[in-house]
Amino acid sequence: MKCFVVTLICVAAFFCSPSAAQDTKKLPITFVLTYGLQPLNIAYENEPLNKDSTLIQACRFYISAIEFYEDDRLQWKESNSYHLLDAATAATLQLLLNVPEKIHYSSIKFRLGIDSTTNVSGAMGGDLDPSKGMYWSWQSGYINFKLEGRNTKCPGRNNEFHFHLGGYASSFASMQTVALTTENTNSIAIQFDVQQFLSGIDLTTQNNIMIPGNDAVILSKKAASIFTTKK
Amino acid sequence: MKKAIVVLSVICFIAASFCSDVAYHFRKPGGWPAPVYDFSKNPLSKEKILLGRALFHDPILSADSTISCTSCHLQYTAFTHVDHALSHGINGNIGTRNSPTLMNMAWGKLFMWDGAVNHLDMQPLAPIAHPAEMGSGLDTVLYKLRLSHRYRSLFYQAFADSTITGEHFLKAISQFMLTLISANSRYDKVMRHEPGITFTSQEKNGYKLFRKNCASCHREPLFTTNGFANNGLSVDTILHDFGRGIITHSSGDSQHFKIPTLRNIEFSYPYMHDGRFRKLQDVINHYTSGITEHNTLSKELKKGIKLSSNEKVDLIAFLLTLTDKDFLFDTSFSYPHHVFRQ
Ligand code: HEC
Ligand code: HEC
Repeated sequence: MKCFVVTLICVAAFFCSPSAAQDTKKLPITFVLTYGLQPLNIAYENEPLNKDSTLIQACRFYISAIEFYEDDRLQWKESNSYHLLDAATAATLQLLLNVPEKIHYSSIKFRLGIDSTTNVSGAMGGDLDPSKGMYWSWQSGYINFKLEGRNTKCPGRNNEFHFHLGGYASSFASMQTVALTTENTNSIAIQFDVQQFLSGIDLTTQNNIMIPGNDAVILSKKAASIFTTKK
Repeated sequence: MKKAIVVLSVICFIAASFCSDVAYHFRKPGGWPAPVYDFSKNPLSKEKILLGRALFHDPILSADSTISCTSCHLQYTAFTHVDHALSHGINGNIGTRNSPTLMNMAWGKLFMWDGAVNHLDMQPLAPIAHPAEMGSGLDTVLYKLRLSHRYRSLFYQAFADSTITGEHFLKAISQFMLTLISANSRYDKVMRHEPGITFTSQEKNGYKLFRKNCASCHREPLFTTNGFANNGLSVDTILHDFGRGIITHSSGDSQHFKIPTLRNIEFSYPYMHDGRFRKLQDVINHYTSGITEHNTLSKELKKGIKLSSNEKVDLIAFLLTLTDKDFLFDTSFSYPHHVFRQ
């Protein structure tokens, strides 16, 4: 029965292909992750740690609900817009959007993290698959932003720090909106400086945030404020 | 764009001609509320349920392949770990909570004693990753399953896709758990006015006492409101478990625990989140004379429940009518020998 319905829908799709579909073009958005002025490097296991230096071992985050605006008017938004970016996999840092050919925009808006509805809607696929390492196991919810590394200031095991920022319930909702002005060009570059994120954090005392709560909300706001389209 | 649609349709055609899974009709017992689970996001099929059943019974899910979901959720005891106050996991580790019964899961809203899990699909992640339970991780489990010819074929039959994803794995286990419906106890038959089936006068009186003292939390027909409450248990001085308060960080939720169903309560001992009571009699005595005063204690229990010793016996007689042997011995839930023999 189900197969019949599927077939029927396919037949319908076949004959009713929208001839008036808008022409589209590809618009690449590249996320450029840096550590200060240097490109961000993901450290290999057991890399020696020098005094006062920082090694980054993981930097992964969700970008969702991408929208384009001109003078505060929505021009286009990506449907089913969920992207997991992973500093260790260059291909994930470039998003290729299918935008209308004649789009005009002066700003781009996106969310850092996953909305609360998606957080309570059960198992999802693609970048939202819970096997991607961005889902808590002991308590439901996506990790919106994950930064792990080592710094001699961290007193714990291997001098490690772990920032797993997330939480969707109203009091600790940590998803953030980022709005950036941008020129109407054929590609967009967005920078994120990990050193700037760490600069305001005293790693001797704050080096392990793994649960939703006030600290996660404050650091999520900080992370969101670091994205920039400026060179 | 047009080309893409043509290609997509052709792919759909091919997929449709291969897909052969048989829809499973979810039967809501008469008079029950609508289920909470959104079946439109995970439509039931016989193949997916069978896959979920195999996964539920297979120790491949634990780090050393010794523990399956059934190790702690055994069918004959309404899918709880009978006779264990705190659940046992790999390497003989002891967890911090008593494993709950698994029944009528389609009506559940939040899961775990503290409601930490917000959707049935996400529940398996917790025991799989818990060091004292299965001590593994979802990616490790998927890796092991992908090496198995049996599972590649079961996933293909279920999802027309042999790449084993976390989404499909979790949805299949949910499908099996959604079929665990207990609605055929003597209580249910009396409520349905089935010919020749009635309560004894003792059970009838017990039912009256139950409606008066217990039903506000253990609400019919599910015997739970799905809510959380402090039912007056003292805090265990070793476990220091504050339940729902740990999740919401709200002092008003401190010592609140999920209200469990009382269906098949005859077989799901020991009782409460830490398994502190071994007998139903101990539970009743707790409600009549063991309540610990606390500012989050629910108001129903502040006044205290008074029952004579005869009334206690009647109340227990009623609770025993919630036993559903058809459920406890339903072979469609048991170890799927035919799958593992292949
Ligand atoms: C080592 C024992 C153990 C194993 C193995 C185990 N569980 Fe559990 N299960 C528990 C305990 C203990 C709880 C309650 C935990 C809590 O509240 O913190 C629980 C809770 C649950 C619940 C929530 C029930 C409710 O009404 O809130 C579900 C559903 C569940 N388990 C399903 C599973 C599945 C599926 C598996 C296999 C992937 C599994 N369990 C493996 C011990 C176990
Ligand atoms: C204010 C709400 C409330 C009322 C009223 C109430 N209960 Fe409970 N009951 C609970 C909660 C909450 C739990 C779980 C507590 C825990 O484990 O921390 C529970 C647990 C139980 C259990 C153990 C179930 C299991 O699987 O471990 C039994 C049996 C039980 N109640 C029977 C009764 C009876 C009989 C009455 C009436 C005399 C009653 N309850 C009244 C809230 C209530």
